[in-house]
Amino acid sequence: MRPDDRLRSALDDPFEVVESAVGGAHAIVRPEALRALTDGHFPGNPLVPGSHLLALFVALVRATGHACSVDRIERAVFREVVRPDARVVVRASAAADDWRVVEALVADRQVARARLHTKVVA
Amino acid sequence: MIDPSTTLAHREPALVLDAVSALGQTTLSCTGGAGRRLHWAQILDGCAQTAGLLARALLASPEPVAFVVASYESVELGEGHDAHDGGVIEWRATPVRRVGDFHQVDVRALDEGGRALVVARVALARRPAT
Repeated sequence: MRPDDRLRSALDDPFEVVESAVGGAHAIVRPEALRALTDGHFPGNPLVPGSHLLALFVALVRATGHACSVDRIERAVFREVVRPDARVVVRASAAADDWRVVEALVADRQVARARLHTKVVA
Repeated sequence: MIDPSTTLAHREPALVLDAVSALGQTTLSCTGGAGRRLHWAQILDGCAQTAGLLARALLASPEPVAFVVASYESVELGEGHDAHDGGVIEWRATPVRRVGDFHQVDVRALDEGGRALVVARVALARRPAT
C-alpha cells in the first residue's frame, strides 16, 4: 500500500469503537490507525499532526450525524502533543445551532479541542 | 529559493509541498500534490507547512527555526476538498500578525481551477529546533 493510501485508510476508518447517545458521541481510535497518522511526521520524533486530529473530529461527527457534513472548523486548539502509542478518545457534544464541540483525550486529559459547524447533505 | 524537503522535517506522506513557487516580501506560495491523492487533512497540513515556511522567511534567522501548530483559528472546507485526485495544489500564505514567538498566517489551498479547497488561519508557535 502506498504511503498516501495507508494514511487515507487510517483517516477514513479511524475508530475501533463508536458510541452515540442523545446529544453526544465518543469513539476510541484504533492503535494501528494512530500509528499511520504519524507516518512522516516526524522521523525519529513521531507526533500526530493537528490537522489529522481534526480529521478524527470530523470522522466522529460524520459517523454519528445523520446525513451531515462539516464545512467549517473554529478555535481548534492543541494543548499537548499526541504520540503514536497513546490511547486516544474522541468525544463530541452538541452546541448551539449546527455546531458541535469535539475534543480528544489521552489518559482523561484534553489534548485538543475544536468547534465544528455541520450542514445537512442531500 | 527555499526547498521544502530540506527545510521541513516532514517526510512523505506528511510532506505535501513539492516546491516554493513564489516568494514576495510578505507572501509565499507553494505547490504540491501532483500525482498524489491527498486527503483534505493532508491539504490542511500543507497550509501549516506553508505557514511555517513563510514564518521562517520573515524571521530571516541564521539559526534553524522550528514551529508547531498551536491552533487553527478557523478552517473552511470548500467544495471539492475531499476529492483531490492528482492535480497540482497551490498554497498561498499571507501573514496576519506576530506576537512574540507566535505567528498567525492565513493560507488558501487552491486547485488548478483556482477553487479554494481549504482556507485556514494557522497559529504557529516557535519551538527549539531538534
